[in-house]
Amino acid sequence: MSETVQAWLLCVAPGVYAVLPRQAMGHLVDDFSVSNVPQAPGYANHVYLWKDRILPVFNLSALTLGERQAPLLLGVVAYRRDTEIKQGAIALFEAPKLIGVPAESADWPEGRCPWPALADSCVTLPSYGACAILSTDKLFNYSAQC
Amino acid sequence: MAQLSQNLYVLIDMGSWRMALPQSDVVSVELLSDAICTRKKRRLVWWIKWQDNRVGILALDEHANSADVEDIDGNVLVLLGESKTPVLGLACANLEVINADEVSNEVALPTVMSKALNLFTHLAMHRGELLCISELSKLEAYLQQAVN
Repeated sequence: MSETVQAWLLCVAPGVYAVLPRQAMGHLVDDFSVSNVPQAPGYANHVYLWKDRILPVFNLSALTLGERQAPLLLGVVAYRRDTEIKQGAIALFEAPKLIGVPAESADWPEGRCPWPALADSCVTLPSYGACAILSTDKLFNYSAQC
Repeated sequence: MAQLSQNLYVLIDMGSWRMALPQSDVVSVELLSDAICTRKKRRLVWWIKWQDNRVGILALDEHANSADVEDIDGNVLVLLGESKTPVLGLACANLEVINADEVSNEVALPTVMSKALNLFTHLAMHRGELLCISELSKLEAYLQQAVN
């Protein structure tokens, strides 16, 4: 029997799934409004004002589908910027599920999304196919010029 | 008095978003309808004559992209510069002087929003809403890029 670890299965765009380590997500928000940051790239041009903090919102639908879609939920996560710990939010399109993730890595999902710049590795999940294991550090320090 | 002015921001209402600059950068406030349009090669360039100086005008749309002055909602032109000499005019819907104490939770722009560093240095909150903090040098460079 192969070894598995518990992680969140996230719907990061309609029909697109990714995995997030269990300890990475702190809160789930279903009643929210976001503010636009002009000139910021489409995948990160919103912020969520939460508990007197300004959280950037990463919306993977802009990268995976080529068009940003409005999420149903926000997952509040922590990430590292230089030596500081910051908070951000990931746009979600379904409620996350806690699942067992196999240890064996797989090839990156196909498509336009630059997964290696956003994720640490990839696994194959029954019913979902190849799913990237997201790195919050990579997501919120991502710059398209890289 | 000089110290007091350093603690003031001018909050510039761009219609669908808001930004702030140090109040000391404001030289004058004029009417956008006094702007003059001339053609530079194939491009229309907007400017205003202010005390014998020709001051270029920056107009920004809802995405903060350079826009035509005629497409901007509002009729306010804030002239920005140093030492009472304007270097650009910014078209906007309205403006308000606020105390820096009202601006809270100022944070540097996250790396993932780095493209917005063309215009802004920080994000902050004011009366529970987002405020984008800019500086004169960024707006000046943006105007130069837009007209050249």
